[in-house]
Amino acid sequence: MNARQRQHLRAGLGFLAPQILGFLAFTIFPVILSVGLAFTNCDLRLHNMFKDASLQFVGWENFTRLFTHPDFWRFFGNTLFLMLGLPFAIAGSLGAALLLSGRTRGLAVYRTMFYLPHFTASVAIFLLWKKLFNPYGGPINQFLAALGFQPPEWLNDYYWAKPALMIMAFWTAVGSNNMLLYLAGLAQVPAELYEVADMDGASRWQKFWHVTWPQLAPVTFYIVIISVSGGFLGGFEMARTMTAGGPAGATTTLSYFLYAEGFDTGRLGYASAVAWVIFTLAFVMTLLNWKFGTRYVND
Amino acid sequence: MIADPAFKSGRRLLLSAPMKTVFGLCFAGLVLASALTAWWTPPKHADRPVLYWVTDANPARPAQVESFYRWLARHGHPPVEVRLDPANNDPTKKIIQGVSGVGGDLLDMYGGAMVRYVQAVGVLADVTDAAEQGRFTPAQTYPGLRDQLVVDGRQYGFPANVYLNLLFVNQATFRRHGQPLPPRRWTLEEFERAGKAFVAAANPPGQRRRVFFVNTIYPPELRRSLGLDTFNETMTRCTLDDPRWVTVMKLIHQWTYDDHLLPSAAEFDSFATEMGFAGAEAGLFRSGNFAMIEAGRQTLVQFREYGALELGIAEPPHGGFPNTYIDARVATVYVASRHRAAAERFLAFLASEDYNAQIVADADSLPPNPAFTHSAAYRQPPQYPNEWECHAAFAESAETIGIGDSHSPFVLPSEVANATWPAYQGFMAGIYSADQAAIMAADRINAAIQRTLAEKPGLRPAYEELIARQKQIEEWRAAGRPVPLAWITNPFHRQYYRELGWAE
Repeated sequence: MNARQRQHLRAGLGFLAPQILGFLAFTIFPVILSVGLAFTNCDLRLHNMFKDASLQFVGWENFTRLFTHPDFWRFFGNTLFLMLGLPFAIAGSLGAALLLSGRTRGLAVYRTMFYLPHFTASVAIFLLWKKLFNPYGGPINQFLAALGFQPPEWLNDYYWAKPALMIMAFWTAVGSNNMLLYLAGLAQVPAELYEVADMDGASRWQKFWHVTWPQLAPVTFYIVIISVSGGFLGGFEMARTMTAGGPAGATTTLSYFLYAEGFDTGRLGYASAVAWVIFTLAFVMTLLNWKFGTRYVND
Repeated sequence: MIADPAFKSGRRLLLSAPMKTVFGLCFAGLVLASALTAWWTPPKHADRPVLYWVTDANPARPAQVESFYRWLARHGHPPVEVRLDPANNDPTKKIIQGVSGVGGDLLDMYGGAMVRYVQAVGVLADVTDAAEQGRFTPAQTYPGLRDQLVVDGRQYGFPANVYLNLLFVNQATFRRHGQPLPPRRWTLEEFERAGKAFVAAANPPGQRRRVFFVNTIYPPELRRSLGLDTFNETMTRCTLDDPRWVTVMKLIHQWTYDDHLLPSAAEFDSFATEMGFAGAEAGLFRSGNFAMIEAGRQTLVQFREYGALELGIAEPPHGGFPNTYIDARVATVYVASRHRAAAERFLAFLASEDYNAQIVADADSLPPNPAFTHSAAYRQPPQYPNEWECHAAFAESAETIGIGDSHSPFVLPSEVANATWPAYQGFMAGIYSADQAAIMAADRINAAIQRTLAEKPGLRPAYEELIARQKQIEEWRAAGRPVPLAWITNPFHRQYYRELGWAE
């Protein structure tokens, strides 16, 4: 590296320094700290600047306590259940991207409309859907009743609360960043491949299945990885805003459980253990995706 | 990576002189904007101590602060400046900032449960001695609030507003449906009878019910009215696995889903009413959808905007022991406040006539000092004759049937809530039977007690002592002997034993 390159490097690092320092201080350091805390009895009521109790190493106790918690597996099940909507959400994003990748008049307007939920405040979206799911006055149930169905009570119903959240998540996911990624991926598919397929007399479906879908495999793989990780870590805002985790814990996800354990009880060691279990679950799922998903990408 | 041509070109672009210029201009712009902001912002320095009051964004707060200034001047205290800090009023923020050494000087705690939790964290200053000198001891407020302010015999705050729920009665709604007005005090059976007659008269048969007898009934009030609290007398064991709690849950279920005296959660949500200061309930009360709502005196602030509603008051129905919950927004002092004496003077101000007169006039809940509820200004405000029945009822109830929540030193209030309500919701949703829900809640709370004892072995001796005392209480009760009140730490049971003549 010559003097000029070193100078450029210094300048670049200088510009990046605020971001790097912030990331180290507010992300990396807490993450590392939480690993240690997960193996201690750290409790806000015992360990802070006004208390003199010493932090004790408790080994795997926080983890064993977590796995024997009467609700942990139920909340884990809730989290997995909500993730069942991911394939539909990803398919919806792809469908929207296919619709919006053609040459249609006013395409920019359509794209903006589809993407609108993504830059709308999530709380506003949750409140909107709460109104839509209103058991008696809500438009969804009015529509279902008009069709002759006996509509459910959605967010107020133990069995329907999770499907209600999945429907809303599907709606928000269709026009999300996934759609943009698919749009970008579609733009990268070489036009020659479609021309060859046309010469071979391929139908639209055949062109999609044999050209578009394989070409989008890397994008799909990335989206699956991100969505699965997000699925394990998500659900907090929805639960907090729309259902408070209810009814009777039906919509309490692991991330909501983590918040409740951390801040309702002050047991930060235990909450850190919860956080690392969630991370481990997401990480394992990502590894599985890598192991079994990359073969389709490489093909 | 460097070999990647796209990266190379991007790097060239990034480090080229024009890009640097753009960055430099952005940086200079930000510096200039910061300087301008600093110039426009009012100076933070003050010629007197500054107290940061972490409270809600209630429009009455600035007037209360001005009143505090006048009170200080009149009593010859050194002046201070109070800056309101509603942005940090979230409970989590208060705790995190508190343990980080940067908490506000005055911290509002919403209820005794929160006082206990934050005190356990160590963030609250012990104001016992200052309270003696400044005359803002528990004796200066309602007897039912003592346990919300005092932990282990030490005082940690003073009420700023006192909450007590009674049933507001919309007399016009009752008249409209040809029903007699409810009595001030009624049994469960009287309540049910009147409620059934009301909803039958108010809702045309064969149509969706849109008029309910009352918005809600707080289940623990009914449970306590049958003599059952969350904890036993010494708060060493949860007693929710009692048939009386099962009875109450079944009763609420019946009133909601069979008799339709109360709306279900779905029915409540179905009312598309704009949320006001007092929530949707106030609007639905005004419109006649709820003949009664269970709420505190502060709801009058909202009612006054509706004009002169014809208001009456009833107590929550009881199964033998009339009661209601009393709690408070408690002003506390941050343990690391740099102006602790000034902050403690603020608590003394909350007990003063100046502050209490403001609460009386605003109807923003009950004034902290009950002495100010005996005035005509409180009981019969001339501009609101429709409220006259309400004010006296709230004041009398606060001093007679208002009992604070019980907080065991061996389990966090949040753990109690997280065990009780999901089980209750599960029963209401048909997931568990009432017996299962009762046992589930009790088992979880008792397990949490054991967990606390394992985590804090220092509590074990006190726990063992209380267990022995509990055994003694039960033996004496079984023998029909009166029990010394000093043995009972649970505020509900103290009152219950006193009222029933079981106490020495």
